[in-house]
Amino acid sequence: MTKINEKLLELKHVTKYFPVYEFLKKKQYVHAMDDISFVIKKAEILSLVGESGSGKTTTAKIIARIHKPDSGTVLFKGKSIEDEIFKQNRLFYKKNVQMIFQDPFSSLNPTHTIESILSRPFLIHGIAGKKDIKSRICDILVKVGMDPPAQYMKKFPHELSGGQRQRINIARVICVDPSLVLADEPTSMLDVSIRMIIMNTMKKFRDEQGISYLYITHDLAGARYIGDRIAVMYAGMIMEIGKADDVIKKAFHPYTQLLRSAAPQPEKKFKPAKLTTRGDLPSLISPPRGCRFHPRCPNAQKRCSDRVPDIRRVNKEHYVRCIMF
Amino acid sequence: MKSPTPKSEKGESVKNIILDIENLKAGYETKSGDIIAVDDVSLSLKQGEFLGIAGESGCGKSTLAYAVMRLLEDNGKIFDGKISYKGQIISEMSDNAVQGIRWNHISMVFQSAMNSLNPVIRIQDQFIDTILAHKKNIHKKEAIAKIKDLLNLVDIPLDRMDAYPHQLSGGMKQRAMIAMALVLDPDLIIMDEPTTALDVVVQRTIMEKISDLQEKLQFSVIFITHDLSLLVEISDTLAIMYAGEIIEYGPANEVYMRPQHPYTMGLMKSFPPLTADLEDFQGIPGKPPDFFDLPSGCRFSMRCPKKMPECENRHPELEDRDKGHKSRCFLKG
Repeated sequence: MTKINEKLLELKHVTKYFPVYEFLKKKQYVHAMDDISFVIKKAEILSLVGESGSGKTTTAKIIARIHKPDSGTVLFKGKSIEDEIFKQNRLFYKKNVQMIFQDPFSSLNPTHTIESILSRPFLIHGIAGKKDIKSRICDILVKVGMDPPAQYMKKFPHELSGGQRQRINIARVICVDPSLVLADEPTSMLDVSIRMIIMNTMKKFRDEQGISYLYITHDLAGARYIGDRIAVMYAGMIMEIGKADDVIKKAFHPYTQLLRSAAPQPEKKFKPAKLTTRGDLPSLISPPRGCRFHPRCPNAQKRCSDRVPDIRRVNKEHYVRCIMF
Repeated sequence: MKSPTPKSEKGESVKNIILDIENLKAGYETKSGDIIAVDDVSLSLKQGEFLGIAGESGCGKSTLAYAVMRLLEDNGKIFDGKISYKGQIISEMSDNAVQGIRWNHISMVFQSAMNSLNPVIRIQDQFIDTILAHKKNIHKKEAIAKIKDLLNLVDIPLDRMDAYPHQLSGGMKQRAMIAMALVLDPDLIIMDEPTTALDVVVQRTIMEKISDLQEKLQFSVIFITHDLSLLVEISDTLAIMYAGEIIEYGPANEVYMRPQHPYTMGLMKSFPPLTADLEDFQGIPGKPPDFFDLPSGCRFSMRCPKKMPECENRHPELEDRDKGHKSRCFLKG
C-alpha cells in the first residue's frame, strides 16, 4: 500500500469571493471561502462538515477547478494546479480528481442507458478500447455491488432506485482510477437504510485502491464514521480541523460544540441538553467583523469582534480558529 | 354522524384517545391496478401523545398522513377501514364536513415548508387566509392578535409579519409553518418530514420548539420521518412502517432498546453513533418490494438477514410481545 503520509492535495490560503450585482447598488461580494488551508493525504478521507451556505461545495468546486481561486494556491502532488498542471495536461487532472454529486436523480442523463453513461469515462480518458469497454463496465458494476451487471446495463436511470443511481455515480467516478474523489453530500438524499451501504462502498475503494476522499456532509456522526480527519467549516472559514475522534470528543471551538449538541444522539439518553446557541448563519455578503461565529457564540467576548482569530495548533494535528485557544 | 363517546373496550384509557385508525387500507387507483400503500394499519393516539412513524421512502407513511387529513390526491382512495377522530368518522365524512375538522381539530405541517408558503403573499396575509378559511365568524383584529401570539411562540420577530416568504430563512419558514398549523388550536398536528431539508442546528431548534410547544399546549403529534435517530429522542410511541404495513410498534425507548423486528434492527444499525465506539455498520441491502408484486409471505423476507423457510409462505401478523410492544415477525424474542 502507498505511504499514508504523502501529501496528495494541499490548499494554501485559498480565497474565493463571488460578485453580486444589484441594481443601482455598489458591487458586493459573497465571501464563500476565506483563507482556507488544509491537506489531504494519500488514501485519506477528510470529512468537511458545515451548515448549508458555509462554503463546503465551493471548496470542492475550487479543487475540481470548476472555479478559479481569487488568491491562494491549490497544490496537487506538490504542483500548483493553476500554473503547472492545468496548463499542461487538463485531462490528467480531471481524470485524477473526480466528483460525486449530491442529487443522484439529476446527475445522470435520463436519456442514456447505464451502459452508455459508464462507457463515457472510458472513452474520454482513453482507458479501454471499444472491445474491452463492456467487460470493464461489468467489472465496475460488480465492484459497486450491482450484481449481476447484465441486468443493469440496458436500464435507464429512472428505472433504478436512489441508492442504485448513487452507486452508478460512484462507479462512473471509480472506473477512471482517480487519486482523489470529491463527494458532495452523496448520501443526504438517500434513505437511511441505504446510506451506510454507500459509505461502506466508498470506504472499500479507499482501502483497496488507496483513493483519497473529500467527503462533504452536514451529518457529524457520518463524518466521524467515514472520515480519518474532520474539518469544520463556518461562514467560509475553517474553524477546527483534526483527527475525527478528537474533533468530536474533544471539540475546542464553540461552533463544533454547537454542532455536536445539535446532532441526534439516541445512544446517550432520551431528552438531551438544550442548545445554548441560536440564530442563523451570518450573511456572507457582509460577514460579521472579527470572528465570524461571535454573534452566535455563547462565550463571545469584546475582543472577538476586533479581528479574525488565527488558526492555531492546540494538539497534535488538531487546529482551532478561536481566540480562546 | 357524530357519536359522543368512542366505544369503550378498555374502559378508562379509551376516554382520552383522540384518533383511532382501524384496519385502514388506503392507496391509489392507477391504470395498472390499485396500489395499497397503507395496508391494514391500526393505530390509536391519546391526547398529548407524540407518535413517531419511521420508514423508507415509499413505505406509505405519507399516504397514511394524507388519508387522515382526507387530502389524498384525485386518484387516492381509502379502500377499507375506519379513521375516527373523537368519535367522528373522518373516513366516511362528506368533503364539507371534513373541512370543519381540518385545521380546527387536525392540522398538518407539510414536507418542504419552503415550498408550501405562497411566495407572492405576505406571511401575515397567509395566516389570515388560513384562519378565515376555517373559521367564518372571526374578526380580523382578533386574528392578527392571535398571529402575533403565535409568532412570538415560535420566535419569529413580529416585524417579519409583513415579510414575503423569500425574506425568511429556511428555519424561519418552517417555524412559520408550525405556527400556522397551531393557528386554530388543534388537538392533533401531523408533521410530514418537517425537518428533512434543514441543517442539523436548525433541525435541532425546530425539534426543541415542537417539544416545548407540545408541553405548553398539550396537543398530540404524529411525526413522520425517515430519520429514526430523530424520533427516538422525542417520541412517546414509535411505529415502524415497511411496504405499507406497520412492522413494529411500541413505546419509543422499548423499541429502541429492544427492537424485535429485523428491519428495525437494521435501521438502528444504519446510523453511526456520534461518540460511542464505531463498529461495522451495514445498512440494509436491497430495496423495498414493488407494490404491484408483493411477496405472499413476509414483505421484508427478501432483505431479511434472519429469513426462515416459513417467512416466504406465511404472512406474519402484528403480535404483541411485551406490554404493547408489537412486532410483525415469526422470530420470538
